Amino acid sequence: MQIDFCARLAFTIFCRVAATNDVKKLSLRSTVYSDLEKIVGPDFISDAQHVRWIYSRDVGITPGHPPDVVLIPRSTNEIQEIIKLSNTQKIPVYIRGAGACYAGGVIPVKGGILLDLTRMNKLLHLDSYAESCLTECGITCGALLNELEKQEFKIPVIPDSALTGTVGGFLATSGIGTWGSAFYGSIGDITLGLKVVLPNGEVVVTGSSGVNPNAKGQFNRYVGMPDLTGLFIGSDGTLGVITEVALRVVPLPELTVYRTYRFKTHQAAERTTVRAKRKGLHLVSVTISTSLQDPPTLNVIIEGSKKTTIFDTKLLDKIAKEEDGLDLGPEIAQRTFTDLLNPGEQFLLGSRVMNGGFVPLVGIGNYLDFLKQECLRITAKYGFPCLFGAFNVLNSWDAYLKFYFDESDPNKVLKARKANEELQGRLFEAGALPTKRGQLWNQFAPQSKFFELFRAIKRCLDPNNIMSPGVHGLGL
Amino acid sequence: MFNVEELKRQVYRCTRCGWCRASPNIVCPIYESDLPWEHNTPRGKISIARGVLESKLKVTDELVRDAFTCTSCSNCREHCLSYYPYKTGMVSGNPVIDPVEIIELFKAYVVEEGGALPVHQNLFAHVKRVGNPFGEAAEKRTDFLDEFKKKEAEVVYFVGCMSSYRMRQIAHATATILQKVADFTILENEVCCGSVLLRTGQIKSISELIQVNLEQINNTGALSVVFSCPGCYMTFSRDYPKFGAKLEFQPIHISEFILNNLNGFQLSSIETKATYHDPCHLGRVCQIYEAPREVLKTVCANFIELKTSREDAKCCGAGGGMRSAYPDIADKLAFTRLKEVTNTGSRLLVSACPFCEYQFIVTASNHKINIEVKDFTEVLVESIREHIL
Repeated sequence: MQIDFCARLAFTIFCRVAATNDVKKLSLRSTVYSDLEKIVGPDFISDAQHVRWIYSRDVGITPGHPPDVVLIPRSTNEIQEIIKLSNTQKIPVYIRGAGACYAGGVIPVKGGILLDLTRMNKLLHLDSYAESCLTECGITCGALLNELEKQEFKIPVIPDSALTGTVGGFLATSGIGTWGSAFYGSIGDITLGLKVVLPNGEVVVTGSSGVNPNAKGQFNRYVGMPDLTGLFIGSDGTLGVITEVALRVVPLPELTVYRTYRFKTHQAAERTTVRAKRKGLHLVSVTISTSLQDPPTLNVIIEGSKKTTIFDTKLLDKIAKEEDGLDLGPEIAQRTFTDLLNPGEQFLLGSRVMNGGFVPLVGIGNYLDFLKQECLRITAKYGFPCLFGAFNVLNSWDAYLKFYFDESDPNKVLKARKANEELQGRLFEAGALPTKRGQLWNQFAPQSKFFELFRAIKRCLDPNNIMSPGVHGLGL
Repeated sequence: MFNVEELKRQVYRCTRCGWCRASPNIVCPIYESDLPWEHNTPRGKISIARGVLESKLKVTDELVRDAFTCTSCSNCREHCLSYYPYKTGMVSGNPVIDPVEIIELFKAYVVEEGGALPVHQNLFAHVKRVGNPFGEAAEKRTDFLDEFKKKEAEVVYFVGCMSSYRMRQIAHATATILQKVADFTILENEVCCGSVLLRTGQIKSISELIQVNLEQINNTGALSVVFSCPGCYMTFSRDYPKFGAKLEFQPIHISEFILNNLNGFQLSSIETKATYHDPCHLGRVCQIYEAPREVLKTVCANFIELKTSREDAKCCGAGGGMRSAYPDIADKLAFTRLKEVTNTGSRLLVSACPFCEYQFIVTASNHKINIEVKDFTEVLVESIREHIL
């Protein structure tokens, strides 16, 4: 008891020193460090200043903050032990996959422990009967695709950060895929079940395997019960550590067709999409790319059997023509989408701010007009070049605006943050739902029953508030 | 060459996307073979550089150790979103950053601030004292090639330190080949090209080495200089001009030289199942992939490609001062590559770099892997000899 008290006191001092002195080398190595070291082994723990510094940021502009210690666990059991210890000692824990997100969910704003989960990177099982796969959380979506393709399957939704982002990160941020989301929805929509280490260190399995231990794998998410899987999707590490993920897989298509059409207005691109979807065409990906200079283009992927894909493509061509769309052939869309899978044009202008939100299927044309005005405003006011567009996600769009700035100039960084805050306010007012919350949208958590319930669930699962404090506006 | 402003410019253009870590398989061989820490990826190293430049990080021994775990293999560059699309013309303009250059610039910055790694300081001292990183006697450098030395010739063969002192069979083979098709000579007092110092952040004294080598080459009146070491070839052709040196000759790697003169040889076929390892500095950096293959395919009847080859080839682990400073990690890289080789069923691993060959020979011996390792010049000479017999 005496030792525990001392350890806790020591770690508290340790954390305070860290919080006030940025990444200064910590002189105090508490017994907590030793205990953590025993769990993961000496090779997979570090409190070196430069290591903590590296793990202090993500891709976005949320100000960085270093953790006090970084761990790279290999198993659910190790994570359980870490979380139990953290909970007892009330040490904050943040979760990180590849660090490929921009919303600040992985930034350890209160210090503490950062778990790098990239060692948990194995595909555990492919169940071709249930058309599902079970994978560890730290596998990259690209590596998972490679593994599945060997058996002629794929995950139907592939994110923007396809080849670098981890499945766990994709899920924790409730990500949508540039490839696949028009038909299959977000990663959440293809998730069948999870293994999660709860804030008290206990492990829960959701989905069919969780409800019935005799169930033959993971094949049904809802199991006639409240959706406990959904509770953790998009939770950004605030409710526990997702360690295993069961996902739907689909057979590789017989035929994939790419199409690009240029329209005079955003509204014409919208009408084409809505008409095609209402006809039931198998559009797996639909994006509208646009800029201040160029008229909008609609990039589409149609997948399926040869027969249906050819039929759907002809019908789409006809609809686009009726909406005055200029058929630009397959090359542009093919390049746009396959750039996700090959080094491509993302990030080409340097550091960027990307923000956006979900808006309904009908009305995207007007919304893109609004984003165009925002681009003009940001460019005029701050001098930042902008791009904007939208990804179709089932019956909604993820409409985004990106602007680029020079990170080497501290003034421009501050301006970028200010521009981003302004943009968020305008997006929120316009009814957009934040695509990724992380810490980026903390000030936009209204006092609604929704947030009250979420906070109550958080308090119930994590009374010591150790899991990702500060993320999702849950407070420090 | 070292320019802190250029280091800053590039550091801030890294978007931290992580394609250098995994895209989709692990890209960085250090990250793959050593422990999977972010600092073992180019993204992590660039982040460290930023922290140091912003005075957020002190240059500690631990930091230096982790900043130097890089073989300069350039695999990250092939995947970097701020480099690759520009290189291929997918996006117009010059590459925004070069992750390998950032790491090398940062090494130089760290060396300026806190000194090189002790083991690398020894290399520097040896080069300074006797003109080679091994500390071997300068007069014995190319004494075994005395018969080929003459004052003037059309071609100079720049032997390099490794083939002069550790892998003399490559020098012998190269000279034997050149003798058949060229009027060539070897420098009387060749010194280290400087590659090993540049890769370890020690850029002082490079200009002296450049001057000594270029002066001798120019005195021969040679129109071209042939290299059997990709490191020397890369340093002459890419790095010397950065130090203001003007080359009055054409640098050419022996593989391209042989390919251009292939008709001059009568070759017999070698039946052993053979594969080829692309040296990083010859392949990804100098873009020479086909010449050694074409020559090999001429003589090796059973040639097979490795699973990762050309732009995607895995590194042997010897470059960037890794072999001297981190032999354990270097060994893991070579072991990983050798596993790829044995998986093909090949009995003969051919490369075109003395560092790669040495690294594979030592690693194969340490791990008792039964495989023959040769430079492609050695294979060619065997083919010529067999024909004569």
